[in-house]
Amino acid sequence: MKFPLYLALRNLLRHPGRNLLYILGVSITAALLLDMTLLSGGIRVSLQRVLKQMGYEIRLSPRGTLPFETDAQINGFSTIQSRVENMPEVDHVDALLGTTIAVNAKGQTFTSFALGAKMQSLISERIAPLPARSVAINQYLAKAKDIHPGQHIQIWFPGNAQALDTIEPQIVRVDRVLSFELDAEGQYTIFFPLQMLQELMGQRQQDPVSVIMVKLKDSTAAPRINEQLNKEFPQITAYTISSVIDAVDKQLSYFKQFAYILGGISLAVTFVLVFIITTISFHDRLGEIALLRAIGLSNRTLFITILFEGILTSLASAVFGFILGRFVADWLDWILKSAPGLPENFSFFVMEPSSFIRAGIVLLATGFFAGLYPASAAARLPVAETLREEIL
Amino acid sequence: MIVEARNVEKVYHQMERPVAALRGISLQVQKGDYIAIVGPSGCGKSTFLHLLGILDTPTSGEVFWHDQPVDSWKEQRRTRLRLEKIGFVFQRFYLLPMLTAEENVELPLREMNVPTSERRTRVRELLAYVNLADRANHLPSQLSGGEMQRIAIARALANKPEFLLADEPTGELDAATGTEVADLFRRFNDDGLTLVVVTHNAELASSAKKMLRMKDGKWE
Amino acid sequence: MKWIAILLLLLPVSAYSQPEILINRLLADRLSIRAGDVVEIAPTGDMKNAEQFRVAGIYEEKADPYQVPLRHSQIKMHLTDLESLMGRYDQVDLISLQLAKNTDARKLVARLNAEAIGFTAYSANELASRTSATFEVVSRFHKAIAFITMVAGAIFIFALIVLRVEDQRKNLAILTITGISKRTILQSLLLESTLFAFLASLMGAVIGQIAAAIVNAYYQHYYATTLIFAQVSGHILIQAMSISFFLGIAAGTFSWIRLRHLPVLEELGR
Repeated sequence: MKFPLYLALRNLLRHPGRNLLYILGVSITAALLLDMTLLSGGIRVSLQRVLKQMGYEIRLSPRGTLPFETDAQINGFSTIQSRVENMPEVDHVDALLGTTIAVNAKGQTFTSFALGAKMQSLISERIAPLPARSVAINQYLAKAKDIHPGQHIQIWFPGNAQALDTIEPQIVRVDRVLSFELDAEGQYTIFFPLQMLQELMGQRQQDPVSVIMVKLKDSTAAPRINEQLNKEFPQITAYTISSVIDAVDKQLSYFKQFAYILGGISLAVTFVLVFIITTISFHDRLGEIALLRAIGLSNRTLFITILFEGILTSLASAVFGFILGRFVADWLDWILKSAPGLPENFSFFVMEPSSFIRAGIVLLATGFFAGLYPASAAARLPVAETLREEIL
Repeated sequence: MIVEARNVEKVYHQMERPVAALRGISLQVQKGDYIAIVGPSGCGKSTFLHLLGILDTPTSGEVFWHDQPVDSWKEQRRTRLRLEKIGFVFQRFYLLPMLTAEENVELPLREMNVPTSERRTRVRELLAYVNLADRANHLPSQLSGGEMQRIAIARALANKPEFLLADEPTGELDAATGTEVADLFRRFNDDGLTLVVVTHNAELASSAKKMLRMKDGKWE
Repeated sequence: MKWIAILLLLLPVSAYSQPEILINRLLADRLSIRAGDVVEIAPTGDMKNAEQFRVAGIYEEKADPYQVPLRHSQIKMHLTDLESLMGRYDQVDLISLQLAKNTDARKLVARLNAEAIGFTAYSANELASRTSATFEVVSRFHKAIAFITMVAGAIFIFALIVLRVEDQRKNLAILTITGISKRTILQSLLLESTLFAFLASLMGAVIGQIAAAIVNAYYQHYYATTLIFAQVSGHILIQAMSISFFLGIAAGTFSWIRLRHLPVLEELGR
């Protein structure tokens, strides 16, 4: 193997300018292939990271909907909570309640998302409970409206649309600024203790929530508990992390399909290019190859040499291409992340080593197959006839 | 006897017309022979050389290597024979342009998996043998025609072949360089190497021990 | 009896006991529902307080690019029926206003947003812009991909043409030595390169059309929609061919610069 590799390398270095141009061309398709590999799995990986970070294995949302997909709510949370917490596999149960409110701060009236929860549900680190009649706001709201901890804001809850001066606002104190994993960039969010929000909405008796989150003692029990919850509570749909991801993935399936199509095209173009490069290179040196066969280099040596030329071209393209692909992925991700309503920590292109390895293997395999025809032609070259034609 | 061609014919099909390059010729090459084959262009000299060098197979007739018929041998075996026992020198040198003189000479040794130190020693010896020890690190583009041909000759001798075949080795060289090549071949033969040379060069032909004339695919 | 029969015939078709709804094709296919079937609908998943409705018809959704990937089941019903079902009265999600002539929509929007709560007012333009935001992002993404593939394509065309010309070194040497002028040779190089690029772009257009047809067929089937996903328009064709044309000239010129001082005898001798 050493000798064919040596010959292949030396041959590729023979026309550095020309080969560099080819490698540059193939690098771009290699970059595209990498990016499409990243895109095909990025949504899942990104969402999985965000959800796993929150630490709950199962989520319950109103039947037939995904968490926060609609305005529908689950009533009677406390009852559901105590029943679920009685299950031996369950560690604890939390919930989130979301609604839209009107806010007045520093003379400006605007709309904000209101999120009711136990504070520990929202962020990974432990924090102290909020004092009475106090709320937390997210960093986007704090920055945009110049609101600081200690200030008071007025809030109105829409049940029916009314003129502002006909109903009394609720006045609450801003206690702190938090960031929440699932906030979209630029989204205003105000965090309330769950019961406080229910009271302010006038729905304490109904005890509604938007999504219930279940933490298990053993995460491997998630599929089984999920199935159990689906049977026991007909008004909800239970999701494991992977089934949430599957559902979201399906909604964003367009990108996955696109990634497969464009990835396939990139692969086809890489194949054609490497095929052309190795075939032309082979035809350029027919006499040389015939001579090498004449002096005793075996078919096998020449076959492997040309195969290596295809593989090395792909390898060099992969190196340049993956560097280029890294930057292109960042650019494309920046474009896609500007879509409204996406959590700020969400990415379409997630740099996972496995994606690089997968794309690399596919590229090398393409180089291998592209080099097969010229390699076998070199091995089957009629030596005497070629020498005669080359001289003539 | 090293190689024998017995009543060999070779027919090519050009533009669907059969062309008989060789018409039933025979030759026995004994150890220590130095044979020059001369004749007009297109008479079949190179074709015959290719048959002797186990590069090609005759349309009819047989070729023997040490009394063994080789025409039925698989390509792998024929290639191995060429690597170990036969050296080739061509009119066009066919040095790999991206390798130095030294690297070109060692190609057959690399194919034989000769260890690096042994390979380097052998290459140095060969380059000294053809008086090019000081050009070892030069690329072919930095060598003259005569130097390139001497490198090609050194490469042909790398695996210590029994038999050297040369097809118009002075075809692209000037007269003085041609003389150098003729001198080299004479020295090789004196050292025991068997040679068959196809040539138009009168000096090279006359330096051989035996000269055969070919015309229209037959001995004259 | 005759008059009673005619009266019966004249009774409106909707005089069934159940109120009527329309459902979308996706829902009809999912649950194998046909027009005329009676279904039960409840506001919560446990089917408490379910009511019966008659499916009056099945409708095809507009090919809205925002909605297509969501693949939602949809029901259209009378507002009063929905209010009764949900137990929530006098509530809507969207109110549309037809303004009197010469009304300044922006001013009205600002006033509504300042004075009332429970809704946000948008002008038609602003709403259109907001709802198409996702679609615009996807469009930008496509443009970025198109730019990258154009750069790649340009490099390929350039490299292949240069390679092709390099292949012709010997022929060019022969032309030179037989007395053909450098100007003629340059013209022939440029012509060959440009023609090569032009023909390649024509072929590319055909392949593009076939690929677009395949992409459309696939996505239309996958999403059960009539949306066009890929289209080779005249504008795109002209753009591609123009770029090829200029690339052909650039590659030909580049090759000429490289081969201008071709060592003729060396090329023929070696």
